[in-house]
Amino acid sequence: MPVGADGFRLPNVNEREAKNKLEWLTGPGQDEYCRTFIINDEDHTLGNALKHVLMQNPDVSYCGYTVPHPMERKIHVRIQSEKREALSILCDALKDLKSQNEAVRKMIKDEVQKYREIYPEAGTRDQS
Amino acid sequence: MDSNRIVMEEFQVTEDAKKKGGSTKGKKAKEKKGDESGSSGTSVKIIHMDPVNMEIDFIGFPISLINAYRRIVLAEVATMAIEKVYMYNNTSIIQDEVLAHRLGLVPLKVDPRYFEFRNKDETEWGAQDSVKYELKIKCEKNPRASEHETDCDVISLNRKVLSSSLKWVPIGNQPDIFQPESMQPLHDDILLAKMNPGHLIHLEAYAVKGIGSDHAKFQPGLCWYRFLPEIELTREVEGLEAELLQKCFSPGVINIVDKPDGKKVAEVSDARNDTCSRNVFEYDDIKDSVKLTRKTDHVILYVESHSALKSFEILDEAVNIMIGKCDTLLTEIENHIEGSAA
Repeated sequence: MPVGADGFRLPNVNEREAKNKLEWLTGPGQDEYCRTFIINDEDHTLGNALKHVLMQNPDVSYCGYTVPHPMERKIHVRIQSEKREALSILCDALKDLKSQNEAVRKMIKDEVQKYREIYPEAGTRDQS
Repeated sequence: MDSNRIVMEEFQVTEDAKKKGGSTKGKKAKEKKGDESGSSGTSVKIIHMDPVNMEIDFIGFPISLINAYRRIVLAEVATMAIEKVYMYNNTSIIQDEVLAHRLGLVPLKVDPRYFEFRNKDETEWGAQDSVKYELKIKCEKNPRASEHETDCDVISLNRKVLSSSLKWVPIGNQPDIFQPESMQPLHDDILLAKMNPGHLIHLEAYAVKGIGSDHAKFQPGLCWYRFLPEIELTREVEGLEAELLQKCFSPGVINIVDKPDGKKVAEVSDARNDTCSRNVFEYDDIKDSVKLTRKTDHVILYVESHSALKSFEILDEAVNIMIGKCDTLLTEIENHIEGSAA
């Protein structure tokens, strides 16, 4: 698992440096339509889900993600497109992922509600 | 909606031949998207729920999303645990560092949602980010024990130091917000140390909010998932073969029914409970009678809590954290677009 600057623990939310969450690589092979984004403080959790959503977009000709080094807490997300700017595709993918999650949240909430109506004792912890 | 299945054969796992054909990415991707944006196709169903355990079905969701939830439950959902121990006196045989480590692993009843993450450079223990406990216990000879008593638990008082002897000490305005019952360890019978008469432990412990990727003591619970198994009998299996077939699967998966003509025939009653052991392939005479598949778009997710959060609260927190991740990135992109436009 990733480690913090002191070699032991991860920086928590309050300790994040004023580093940008999102950056991108420059150099050959990088332009408006084909770009490698660096997402700091993320791992496979977001990377794989985001890649999956990006793959659903027909405008994307290639996309993939990688964790460049297991001890550095960041991922690289490569997006290549022939039709639209990579940044707007990434933005759309994030919005898509967010709305998917919000749908799941609502579904779970409704289901828990329904389940509790049938089994009212399900929400209480019978512990001394 | 086309159902995706994988077939479990004797030596390999393959995709279902029925749905194979042509490209898998381009065209399919578009169809799938249509399914996901509409509320049809996807559904969630709770099979069992109580504060500790939860079994929930996700139907029609991409596995990457389910795996993200699992990873978040294990590594990113926050709980409270003892992080710093000030040892004033410890004359027992258990070493300071071992005792401190054991204290850290004790699950607490404290609801982490009322607390903030503690700043790394913080030197004070604030009411908004820490919970204080005190443990002061002395082992003494029991004056009422008889001379001939040999049981150590009777001879000495306080021989066992249990988690119930951790006493909550409120900081600042905490007494106005919390009840003492809601701040104690989750279980009051966790053995922390054993002492002999004359031994003494006196310490102060501070609990903070943390996440599982920092230390496993902060994990709110367990989470795992599996695909829904399906068993199909391709021919009639009767008599002794049927009994053998029944033994190859988990209890309750295969039923034996009596047919009107006196035959005893095997029947699949509930494939869900199967562990997918593939034991059936051990027997050459019945292995041709079954087709074992798993539905890849039907995921059974289990959440098990061993913290203050209840099982469904853990799952809810995980989804919220995922939304939070998207939100931070989206604001960052918006800021960038605004910055470059100005």
